[in-house]
Amino acid sequence: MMHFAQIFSYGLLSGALYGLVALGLSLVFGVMNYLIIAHGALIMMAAYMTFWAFFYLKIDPFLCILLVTPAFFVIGWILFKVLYQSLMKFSEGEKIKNSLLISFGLLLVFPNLAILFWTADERAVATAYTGKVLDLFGIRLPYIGLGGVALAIIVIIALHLFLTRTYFGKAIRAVSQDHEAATLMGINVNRICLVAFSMGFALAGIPGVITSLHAFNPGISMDLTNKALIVLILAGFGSIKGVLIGGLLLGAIEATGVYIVGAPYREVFGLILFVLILMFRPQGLTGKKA
Amino acid sequence: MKRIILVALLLVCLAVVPLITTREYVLSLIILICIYTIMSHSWNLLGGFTGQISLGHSTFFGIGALVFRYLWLKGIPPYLALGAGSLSSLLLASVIGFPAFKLKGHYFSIGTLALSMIASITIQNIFPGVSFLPQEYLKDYSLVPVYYMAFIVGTITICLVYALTHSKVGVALVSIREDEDAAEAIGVNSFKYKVIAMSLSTLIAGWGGGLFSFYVASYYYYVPFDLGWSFDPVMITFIGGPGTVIGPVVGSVCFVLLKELFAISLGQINVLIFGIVFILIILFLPEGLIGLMERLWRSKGGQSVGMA
Amino acid sequence: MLEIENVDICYGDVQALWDVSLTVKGEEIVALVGSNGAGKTTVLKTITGLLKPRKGSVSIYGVLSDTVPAHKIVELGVSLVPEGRRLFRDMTVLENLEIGGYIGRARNGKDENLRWVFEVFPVLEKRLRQLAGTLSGGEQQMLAIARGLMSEPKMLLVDELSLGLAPLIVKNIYKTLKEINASRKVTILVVEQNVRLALEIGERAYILENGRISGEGRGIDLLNSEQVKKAYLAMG
Repeated sequence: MMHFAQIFSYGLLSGALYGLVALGLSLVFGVMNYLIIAHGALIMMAAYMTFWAFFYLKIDPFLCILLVTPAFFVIGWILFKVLYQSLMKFSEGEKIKNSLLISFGLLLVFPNLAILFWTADERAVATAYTGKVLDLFGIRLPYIGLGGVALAIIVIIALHLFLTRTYFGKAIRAVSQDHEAATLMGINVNRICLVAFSMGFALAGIPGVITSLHAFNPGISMDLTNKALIVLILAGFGSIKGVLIGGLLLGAIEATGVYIVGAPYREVFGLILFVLILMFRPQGLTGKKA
Repeated sequence: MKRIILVALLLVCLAVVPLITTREYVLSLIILICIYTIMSHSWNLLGGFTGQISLGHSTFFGIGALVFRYLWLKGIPPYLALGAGSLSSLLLASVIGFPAFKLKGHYFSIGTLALSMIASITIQNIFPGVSFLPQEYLKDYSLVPVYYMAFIVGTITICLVYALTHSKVGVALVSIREDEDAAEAIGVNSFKYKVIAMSLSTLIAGWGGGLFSFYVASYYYYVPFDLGWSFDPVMITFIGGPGTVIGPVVGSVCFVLLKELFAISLGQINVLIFGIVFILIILFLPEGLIGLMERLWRSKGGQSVGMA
Repeated sequence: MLEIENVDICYGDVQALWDVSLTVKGEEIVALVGSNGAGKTTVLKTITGLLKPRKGSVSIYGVLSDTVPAHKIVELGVSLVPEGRRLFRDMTVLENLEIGGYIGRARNGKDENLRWVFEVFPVLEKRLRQLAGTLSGGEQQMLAIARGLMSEPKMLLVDELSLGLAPLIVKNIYKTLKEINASRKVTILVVEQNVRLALEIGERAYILENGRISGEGRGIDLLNSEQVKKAYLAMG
């Protein structure tokens, strides 16, 4: 059994990834109250796409990000126009319920689509640096994990700058707070929703690429969605700022849980935490109620 | 009147099937349809009629299966074990289900989803093995008693749901689904009715699980807790027609037959097709296939007005 | 120039406005008064395109409002300061003002507009980096008006500005509105429950009762009329 510092470090590395995983979900939910529970399936598809790119085109996964992200942005755009635009005719409550159901449908469709194309076998992208590790005071930190952390930090900073320094980003924040007031400012709320939704998809592409570097199969869709939901509730639904911290916290909690009870129950800790917070403090840590 | 005669005829036909054929395949198919119908009705009560979208019903299905199996293999007669199974399901619901009603809308959905994942993983770790039927049971193993249990329990389920939804309780449930705040405003105690709906729903899920357990000779303990049992009833109900009594039946028939159709070819493609149909139905046909049939019926001259 | 002609508005099956007609000409201050529920906010929502009339027409600077999507109304030169302010509470004062100037033509003049807004409401400059939700009631109302001005409107619509504010603050804000109207030639339509206040500031006024216009004329005349005195001022 590894000593605690090692497990905890692994937990933090995973945690940064969890933050990335939750980012897209958080953005879309904040802007239009749609909970895209299929988010995990999107990440899974991105992983497969990366796998293909690496296998056939020999492109390094981290470079794949430049391919996968715009591709997913486009996919999100199309899916929104085709599926979610049709929801506009429903009332607010119906819209939310139906968006959940559609997302649920996608959660069923995508993994089975993946099984169709790639079978249910596990895949993984093995690069030159796959097994390599940085040894820091006796703690082994895999390069891939560190890459994931770096990526998470870059993406979150970039997103933060976008949301606070550009007109469009500020418009997105305005729309997440008050659709009507945003309309009064001259903001086309529908267009903002479309873009935010597509961004959510694009933001699924990035963790997808990282996922491809570990062993994965279509079944991880549900696991990834869970992680995203747990981070979301830790951070407070709709809060972008808290997502990285939420992710790290989840990673830390899982690591502690694994150390105490053992690896098989790793998922359960996060899930139980999720249910407890949902019941007793749904506004999460940053206190922003949905 | 006509409708009742039709239904009675159907029931009689179903009742004599085992006397006509001993082909396990046919019996199996009908049993599966019954199981899915029961599960879908269980979900439909809470989701279709009361508007609380639960994504975690596999938990109650699983507990019913677990308890039934344990008692049955200990020698308890099947119908009693079934009862015990569904009661344990209800017990579990009262502990975790009712507090879940604090959550509204999609919070309830993801909360129940999380619960079913917790259950699934926990059972996988505590009971990782297979449940085998001991020799004495295997000797006399036949699908006929299973068939009759499926038939009886299925019929009871449908009657129960029909009775409940056509009573004052049913009206209250629908009012909650349409607008919970408005319902509260006119004096409907939404918590009480949600509890009633969930109690019956989990009871039914419990005996559905027990039936499943009775049906399969040997299986992994964690199979009834698999999330598929949470998801399939949702799809089936929406495709058949949420908030109706026939909807889940129609949906289950389609589901099982489609599964059989593709069983030989690529594994889960039936779920893929169903998933796509599900999404299309949400967008364009929210009343499901039943709704579609009713619309066609009405446009053909409104004959339905005359039926009892 | 705002012209509302014989407009009927319905919320689903419930009719809220009957045959309402109203005009606001360049550079004047017009008041629309009525008690709670009379339909005043409905009129404003119709002007800003959030509601479409079932009958009649709304024309803004010559453009029919129902030919224009709701978010383009502000480009026609009409800016609404909504009831309850509807500030973006999790954004700073500065960000709220910047979003006020979201439309294309206002972005170029951002710095100049900010400077003017700070002249009119100096307190906002002091609270620039504060979150809008943490301001006092009066400051929030000032921010809401300032935000409305950032789009360089020709006409400002102010809905229920006095709600929840101390009388002195309200008086000061109305004084400021008069100054804005005089110095920048911004037309102002004021919607108010506080009839006396509105009729004192409005050169012209309309009275809305149960979804119908029941009176119009010069502010002072209406103020002294028997109808208004009895119904709204508890006199006579």
